[in-house]
Amino acid sequence: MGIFSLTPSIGSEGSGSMSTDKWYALSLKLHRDYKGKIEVIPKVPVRSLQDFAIWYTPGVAEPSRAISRNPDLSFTLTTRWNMLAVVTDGSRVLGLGNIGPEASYPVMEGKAFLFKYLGGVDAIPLPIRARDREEFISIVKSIEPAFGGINLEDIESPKCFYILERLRKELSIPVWHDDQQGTATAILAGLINALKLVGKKISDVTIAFIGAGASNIAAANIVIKYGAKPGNIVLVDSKGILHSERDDIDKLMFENPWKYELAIKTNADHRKGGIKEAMKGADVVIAASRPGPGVIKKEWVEEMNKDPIVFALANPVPEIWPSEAKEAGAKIVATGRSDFPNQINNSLVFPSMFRGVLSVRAKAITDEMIITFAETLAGYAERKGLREDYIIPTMEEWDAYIETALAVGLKTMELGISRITLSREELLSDIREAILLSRAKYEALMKAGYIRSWW
Amino acid sequence: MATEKGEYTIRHAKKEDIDQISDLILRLKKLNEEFDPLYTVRHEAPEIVRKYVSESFDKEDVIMLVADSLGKIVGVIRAEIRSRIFYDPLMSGVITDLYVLPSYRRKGVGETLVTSLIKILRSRGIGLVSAEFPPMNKIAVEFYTNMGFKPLLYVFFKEI
Repeated sequence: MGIFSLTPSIGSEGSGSMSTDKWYALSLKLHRDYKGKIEVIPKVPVRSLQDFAIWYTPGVAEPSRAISRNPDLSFTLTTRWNMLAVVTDGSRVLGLGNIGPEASYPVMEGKAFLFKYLGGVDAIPLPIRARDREEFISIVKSIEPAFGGINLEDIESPKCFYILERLRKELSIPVWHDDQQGTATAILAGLINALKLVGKKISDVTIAFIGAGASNIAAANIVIKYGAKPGNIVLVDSKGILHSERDDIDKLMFENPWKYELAIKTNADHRKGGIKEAMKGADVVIAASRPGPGVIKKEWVEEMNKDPIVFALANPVPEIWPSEAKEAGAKIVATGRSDFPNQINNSLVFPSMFRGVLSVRAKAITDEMIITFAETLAGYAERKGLREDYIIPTMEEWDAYIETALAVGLKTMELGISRITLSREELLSDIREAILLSRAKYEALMKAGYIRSWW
Repeated sequence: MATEKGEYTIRHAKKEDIDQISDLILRLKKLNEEFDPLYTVRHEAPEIVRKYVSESFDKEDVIMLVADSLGKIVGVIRAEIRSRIFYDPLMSGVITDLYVLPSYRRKGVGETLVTSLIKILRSRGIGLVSAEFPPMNKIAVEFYTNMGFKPLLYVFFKEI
């Protein structure tokens, strides 16, 4: 299979040959030609119309009766176990802003496509019209019976924090907000290996987070859970370094309690200023702020501690070009792009996270499971041999998907929040089958010409 | 006693606290700004707050307590004693300002300030305490409700 170049190459250093405008034009044309990207295909055999008596009435009444006695049987007797809703209100789609639910559909459908292709997960695009966060929550709660999991997508911050927090508490299926947790998981995996390479411990390092949006707030929290000292962390948002006595702190308490919490527990030295001051002497900088270059300056990397680690994750252009960061002394550089080494990309996470939890019919995705996932992803790269330009697997390393899905499925069972119990071998074979079979079917359809090529 | 970091003592405000107290009360007024345009803080507010705090020392009917953590003022409460001429009990201590610095919150500083105030009010024979704040301040609503306060007076506003 080809490489997924999820990030079109732009700018002087990109190795891609196509301009963004050409991607846009081609994409529009092909979306029109193919009339969307996914469809629903039955998976049970039909010999004759008589078989409808099995799959539909009258036979179907019996599974219904069984489920009515035990609603959890819906995870066994229907497709629910593998069915995921990709839900958005369209309030913060890609870099396009609040473009509404209809306009978010191509993105949600694209995500559903990746879920199926990479994780064997049946995902349904579900852009919803929700007036406010309470209505959003109420809609998702009402569709819970149809799904084995909920993937929230492209919801503006801080609304996304509130919605995720409530739904994680109130639903008994996994709820995931990929823009927060997916990216945070990939960041943690990359950080684990980067620290190994420079020989530093998570409990000792100082980390500057540049940007305090969905992914960096989630990343800061998970990195703290993993063992970083909150006091050693500094976050910077558009107004500068967060600290407990900043002028807008009380406003944050009401408007963004998640950022407020971090403002209070991080930054033990009461650092003030901007990105430059946050990076001074830091071991690690994790930037997920706004497209560069020039958001992070070379001189600021030079001011970091020995063997600095620089994650510049803004798309389409990182906060600082990797070559500049390297020239300034950065030991390890990661970006969000596939055309540079060390791509910190949530596509390494969401397909196999859900593959793992859906296969064991999980009731939730906890932070422990996120840490297990990140450690497994990091461990995979470590076994292959860590290098400065290889701290995290690439999307072509298929067995990493299977390994992480297995690890998170096992962890779910260990935590006692799975609906079924499988042996390691059974789980592995379920995961392999789900991923490989869906790919094999897809390839067969292409080969047979039922999915025609456009090139 | 204020011996370790994070510990604090409650005491009456002193004139040398004026700067720090003014900073906290200005933060409180700016916080109210979030709730309604009618709480837009005037640009000369810093001087007015300073005057407001300074003059509080000269007034018999104003009580101002601070939470002092190793010389740093981390919280303040200011109350005015007013009489309710039609009703019994006659005298009431009205909390006009209560503010605790963010990193000292959730350690009971606010609650201790209120209970210390109540003790002083009682010792002066005052049997009623109240608090004034914008109704949209949900955190204040929750704080006072948890301490057993209940709403007893509405003040409605309309621009004319």
